Amino acid sequence: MKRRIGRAFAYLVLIMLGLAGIAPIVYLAVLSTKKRIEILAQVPPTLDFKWSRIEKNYDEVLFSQGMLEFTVNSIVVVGATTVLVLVIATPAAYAFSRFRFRGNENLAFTILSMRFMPPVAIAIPLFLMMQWVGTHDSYLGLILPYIAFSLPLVVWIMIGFFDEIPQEIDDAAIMDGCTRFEVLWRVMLPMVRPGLVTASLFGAIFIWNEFLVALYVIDSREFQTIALGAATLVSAQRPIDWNIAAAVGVVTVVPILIFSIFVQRYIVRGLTAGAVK
Amino acid sequence: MTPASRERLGTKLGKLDRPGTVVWLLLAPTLLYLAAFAIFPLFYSLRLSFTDLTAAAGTGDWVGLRNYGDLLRDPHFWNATKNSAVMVGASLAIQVVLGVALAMFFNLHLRGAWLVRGILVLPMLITPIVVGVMWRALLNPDWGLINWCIAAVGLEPPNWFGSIEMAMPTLILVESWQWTPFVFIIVYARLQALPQEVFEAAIVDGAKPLATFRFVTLPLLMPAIIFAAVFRAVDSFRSFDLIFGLSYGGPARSTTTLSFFSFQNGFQWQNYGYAAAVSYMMLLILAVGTIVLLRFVQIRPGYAK
Amino acid sequence: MAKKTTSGRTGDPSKSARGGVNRRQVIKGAGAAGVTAAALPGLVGARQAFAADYDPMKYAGTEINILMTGDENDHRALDDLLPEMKAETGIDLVVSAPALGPLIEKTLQNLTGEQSAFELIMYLGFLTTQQVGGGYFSQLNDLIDDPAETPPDWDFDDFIPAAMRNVGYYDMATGTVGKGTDVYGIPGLHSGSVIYFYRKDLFEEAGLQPASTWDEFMAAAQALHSDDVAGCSFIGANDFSLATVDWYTRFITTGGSLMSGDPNEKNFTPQINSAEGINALQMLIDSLPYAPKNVTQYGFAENVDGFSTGRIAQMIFWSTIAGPVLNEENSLVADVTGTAHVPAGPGQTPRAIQGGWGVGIPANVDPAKRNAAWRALTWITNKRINRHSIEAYNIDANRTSAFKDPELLEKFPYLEHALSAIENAVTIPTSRIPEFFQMNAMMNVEFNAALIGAQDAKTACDNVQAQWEDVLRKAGHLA
Repeated sequence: MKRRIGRAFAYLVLIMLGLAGIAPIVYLAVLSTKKRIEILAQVPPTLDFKWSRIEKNYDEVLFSQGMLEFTVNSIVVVGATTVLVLVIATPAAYAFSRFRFRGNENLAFTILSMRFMPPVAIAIPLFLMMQWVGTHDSYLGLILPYIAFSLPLVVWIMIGFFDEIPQEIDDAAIMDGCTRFEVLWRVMLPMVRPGLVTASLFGAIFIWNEFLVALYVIDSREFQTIALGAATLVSAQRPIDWNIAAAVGVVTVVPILIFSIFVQRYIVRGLTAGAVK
Repeated sequence: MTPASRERLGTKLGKLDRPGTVVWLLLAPTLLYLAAFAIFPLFYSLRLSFTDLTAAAGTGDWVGLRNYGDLLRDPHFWNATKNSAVMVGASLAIQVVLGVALAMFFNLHLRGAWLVRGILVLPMLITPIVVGVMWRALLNPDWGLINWCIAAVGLEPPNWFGSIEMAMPTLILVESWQWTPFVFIIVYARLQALPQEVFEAAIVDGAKPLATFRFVTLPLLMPAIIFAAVFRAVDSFRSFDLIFGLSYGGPARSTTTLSFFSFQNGFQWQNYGYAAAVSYMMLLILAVGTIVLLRFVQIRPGYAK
Repeated sequence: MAKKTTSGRTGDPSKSARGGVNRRQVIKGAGAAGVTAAALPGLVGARQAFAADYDPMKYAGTEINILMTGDENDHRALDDLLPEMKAETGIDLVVSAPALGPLIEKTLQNLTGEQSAFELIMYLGFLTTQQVGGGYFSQLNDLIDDPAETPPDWDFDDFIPAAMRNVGYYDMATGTVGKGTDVYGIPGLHSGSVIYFYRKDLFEEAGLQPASTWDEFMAAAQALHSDDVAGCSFIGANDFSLATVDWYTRFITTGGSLMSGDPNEKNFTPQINSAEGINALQMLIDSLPYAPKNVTQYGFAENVDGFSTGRIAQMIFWSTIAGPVLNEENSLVADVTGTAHVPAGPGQTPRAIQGGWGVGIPANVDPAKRNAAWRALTWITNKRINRHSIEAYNIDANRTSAFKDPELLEKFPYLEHALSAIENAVTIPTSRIPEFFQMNAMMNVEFNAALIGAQDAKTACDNVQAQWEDVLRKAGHLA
């Protein structure tokens, strides 16, 4: 009996937890279907939805404000960054995992600590760099600094994944006459594929949300990212159209929602294998 | 590729294949890239912090340590430092305790728990600015859902971002909503990876559940907890976008952390020199924190055992 | 002189409006018939004798880049009409519209660089002295006076003189904004000042007149305050407008003067902790009992929300919110809201801070593009854009004709008061120095702390006084 009550209580807690996590997002979604004045005057919001209103709000957000275009930009920037980061980071992670050299651990930690730099300290110099290179206000102007942002964490997580693969496999391949590069390319890469997914995921999350550098590097709407689009919501000196702000919020959440359904197991796995063992 | 040319390539690669060379070849892209894109900005900021550069005056004359001297005499800097300490300390305590508790709770493997776990991962993936806007709506004094709920059960809703006493706790509340899952997932993952025999052995030995947790589980979880805590501490120390979206440093200066203080000086008032000095004080705090931390624990993948 | 040339040729406004339509039709027709841009001048010239030497398509195919604010709706109003601009002038206008912080940053970077990447730059009125006075913008009189470069129906005299004084005229010799006849910028795309909003129904019911003095304002607040409706509201949060709208209006309309001296003479001295300064803040503190319960959380948005849902009986606010408050789509009190000029102390003119923007051509513009930039500038400041800004976005435009348009006036009666507010508005003296934003932020923080009850009015004003003096000394404006 006591056990059963405990069980019921546990499920109650579980449901409360689920609600605490999802309720704010649902609230946002409900607000995004309303007229501005309805949000202000109906407390709590009623649940009668009018398709015409929903259409109007989302039409404004997706097309007039360009959030659809911004989403595409974000995907392009984050996608390109991720691919390039993997190309750069994987050999380094392999080296850290396989070679004992002086300062190995200090260097690895130094690289990780780059991840800890306050964005406010480096945003302006990065912007100036992009201006000198002539890539500001372009995809490349975002991709170049974002690679630097995501490299440290990706290297770090990949070290963990390489560490999981026994050294004997390398040795056997080298005995067979493979060079180190061949070992990495032909033998290691296929084995470490889940690690690549996980690492790129973690690299991607933080870039997806970056807006300070984007704020400076990007001038035209043509290259604005989704986080930058959301940032313009917070302008103190004008009335807030809460319904529109909520719809913008939903638009930024939906890709993440879809994404996280597919990659949830990689997230958990990434933290197990890469970050802590 | 013909076998002959393959062989030639092989010898060429063979020369590059000496361990001493190969390490640096493998590391070079990462090191060079970070040198260009991380070290340069750091030195740039450092140099900036010794100048009086503002957008308006634009001279950028060398002023030596003046900015740092001004900073140490600036009560707002100390106020921001205090706010940062409170925010990092409190967020960390709450998130670590709750995160570990959640991990233990999900270790019960209730039916449907996977779904809730999926939901709990969501907040940390949402753009902090959107989190800010979302909670501003939830906590709106006039029509927000939370105040309505509190009033519905007959209580007086707190003056969330309208009073100095409540503003920081409210900020920490939202921060914890977003980031407790991060600690939870890491600790939970570690918990899953632990060999079950250890716990079974403890139970066989007749240990009470609480004692098992205190003397068996917790020590085994420690590396994961420390890892998560370090990440959270640093991220909440340097985060400014949540504050940007939520309270804009106010009311008065009660939620102006160092990070936001630096943002304000550099990005709103264009006092680049001064803002760079603030950033460098932040880096100094981070560096000291890291060195102290490394004395006690070692965090490296595969080594954190 | 700028003024004579344009007014002389404009003639009957209805005629010129018809001229505009004609021209557009001609261009449309020409486009359809496959007539190239080069062939157009003759066609247009033949039909419109009065614009003989003006060729609208002279700069067709040129790309002009404008840097403007993305914080307000100006860029949306402009976006709407870009296709029309392309059809009429052949110019491709590329709009960059960042938020205020990056806007200022990008502006400074371009103005101080070798050549500006933007041929047109929009600047905040508060920054006119810094940017125009710094010599970064090109003088425009030669273009205004040239009938071949300025559209005949552009009508320079139509700009509200106060807006011209705020962002347009600048006397380099004395470094004074608003003086002389040298033009460096065109008001655009909007201006604005502060007006008084009140609930006609509540005031009538209580037998009260809209407040014209601060005593009446307070009396009405007390009389009208109830559980459902706050007697008055103001910006109580740590927000840009706490100092610039609520405190500053009370301060200057009760005899206060913000600064004495002159930054050039290094005696630019704040007078925040003067009797008027402390009193203006005390007025806000005294009205707390009649304000919404959470007024210290009320920034711009919350006040608009509160008023438009009928929870506020009266307040002074930026005239730009008349749109949302008077629009039935967004407001429950659209038909019972009245507007008037702000209250003032005995013997004082009702007046408040001048807000608004100017657009200019950077001095370091590519010389080959200067005339084309001017063509684009005259287009984006023309009557049609002004009218459209008010009609579609309730942006307070800069042209008298837009404010006095009978159709718009009927739709938006507040325009009358918005216009008189702009005409009487004062430029805040601290906008003469680049530290304006920082100083304003310090003031908001301290005043907000006073409203929360963390300090009294005098302490708050003393703190601001001390902080301002410190900033002014460091910047060399005060010895």
